[in-house]
Amino acid sequence: MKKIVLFCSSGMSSSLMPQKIVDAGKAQGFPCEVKAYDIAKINDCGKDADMILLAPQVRFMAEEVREKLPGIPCLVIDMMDYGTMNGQRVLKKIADELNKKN
Amino acid sequence: MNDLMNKLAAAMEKYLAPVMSKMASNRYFSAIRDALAATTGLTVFGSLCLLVATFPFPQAYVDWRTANPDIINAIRVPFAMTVSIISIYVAFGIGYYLSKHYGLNTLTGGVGALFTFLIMAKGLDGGSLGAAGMFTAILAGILSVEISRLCIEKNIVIKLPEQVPPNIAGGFTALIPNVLTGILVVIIVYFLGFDVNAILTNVLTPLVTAGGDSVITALIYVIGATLFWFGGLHPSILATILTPAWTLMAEENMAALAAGTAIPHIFVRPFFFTFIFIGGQCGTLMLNLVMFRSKSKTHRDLAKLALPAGIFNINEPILFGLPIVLNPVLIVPALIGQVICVFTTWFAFGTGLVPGMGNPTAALWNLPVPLAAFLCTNSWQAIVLTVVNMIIQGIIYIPFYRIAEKQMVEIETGEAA
Repeated sequence: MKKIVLFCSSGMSSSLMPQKIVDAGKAQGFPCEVKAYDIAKINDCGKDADMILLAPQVRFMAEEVREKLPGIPCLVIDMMDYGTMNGQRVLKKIADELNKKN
Repeated sequence: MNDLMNKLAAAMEKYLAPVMSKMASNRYFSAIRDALAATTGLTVFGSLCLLVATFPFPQAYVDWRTANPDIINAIRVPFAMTVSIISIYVAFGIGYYLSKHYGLNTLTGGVGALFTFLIMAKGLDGGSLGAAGMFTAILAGILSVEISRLCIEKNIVIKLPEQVPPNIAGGFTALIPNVLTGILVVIIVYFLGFDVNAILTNVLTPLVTAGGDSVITALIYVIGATLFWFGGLHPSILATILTPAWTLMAEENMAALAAGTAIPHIFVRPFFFTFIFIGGQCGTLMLNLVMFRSKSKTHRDLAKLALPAGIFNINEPILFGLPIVLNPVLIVPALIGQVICVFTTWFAFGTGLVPGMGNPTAALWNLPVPLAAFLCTNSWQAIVLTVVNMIIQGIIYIPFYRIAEKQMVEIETGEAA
């Protein structure tokens, strides 16, 4: 069960996505747990995750996140995928990234 | 035109994003931002108490209020203990968060900052504990933590034996830095007569308030925020910069409401988040509703997906999904519609058509706008204003939306064919 955390500006718009990703994960045989948080909580909530996702509007934080939490892969969600809440496409990119790591 | 817009978006990405990244991670900026965020719960509670204590209808309630001053005074206490002395909490918060950044003891950091602030603000009776003292609180917090950090780095601390529990040892570690800071501030303020607090409150505060309470600032903010969204970037930096002004103005408005005098400031936070950013930034709620009848199935589906959050002013699905982001066709009506609404709202409040925003902190940004409008003004006129603005934004979007709709329909029929 992969632990995935998703950050956006207030933890609100990003709260729409987690369920979609989890559902896509179930359908594709990639069980995961996804939680959404405020980007200000990056240190507290990011450190135990298997993967960090950033909402596109906070993509400028990617460098800082990678510096603060170097061992954890950090992906910026594609704008269209985020807008249309496309859990499947986001999950595919998560799976690809984590498989690459192994 | 498309080419120019693409160049603009790329330039924003290349130059603006790194600047924002640096600003957002700047330790003082972050500490101030986090400290203010931590006080939101208090200010909201205080403003709700003020709301209850000043609610103007029905008349029977107003009469009851006048007849029961003791009960009303009790209801007002949370307001007096939160908004009216907000700088105390801010000072502690800055001490806490800046210490956290440096890996220092956060509790003694917060306490030390509070101590420094109280000296600078000339004590509990100094009258500077409210929003006016906020800059002093920030300065005190930063000064206190930096001196602590210096002392610990240069090892100018009292070291207790290892067997002493860390909680007790922490207090002693903080002793020398706190004493040093205290002596320093007393010398500066009382012996050198350099009244830091008076300078900050009498010079900086009016400047910041005047800067914030102007239609020019409002236009710069609204246009700037919309351009940020065009580049797909969250303009939270702009809001953070305006927050001190908004906090100062909010407190003055609330004090006026409590005293029954005229509400001084128009361009407080809800001016933007309730009357302009209807459905979310770029004013997309009416557009969302229009899209339910779209000729494009993709857009109809998007409308359904986006509406539940849109009512609560969360509109990333529309911003990224339509998209409005990186889309010159739709960014133009976003700009025009919101700018027009700046003027309509300014006119409505300036002429007194809508009663002033006496309770700005009660208008949480993600409440449906009619409710937020009511809560911050205690008036139905404000609700009418939100409806008027929403319709204006919708009317401006429609002709431009038809272009986007046509493009999407062509893609859909192209795929089906």
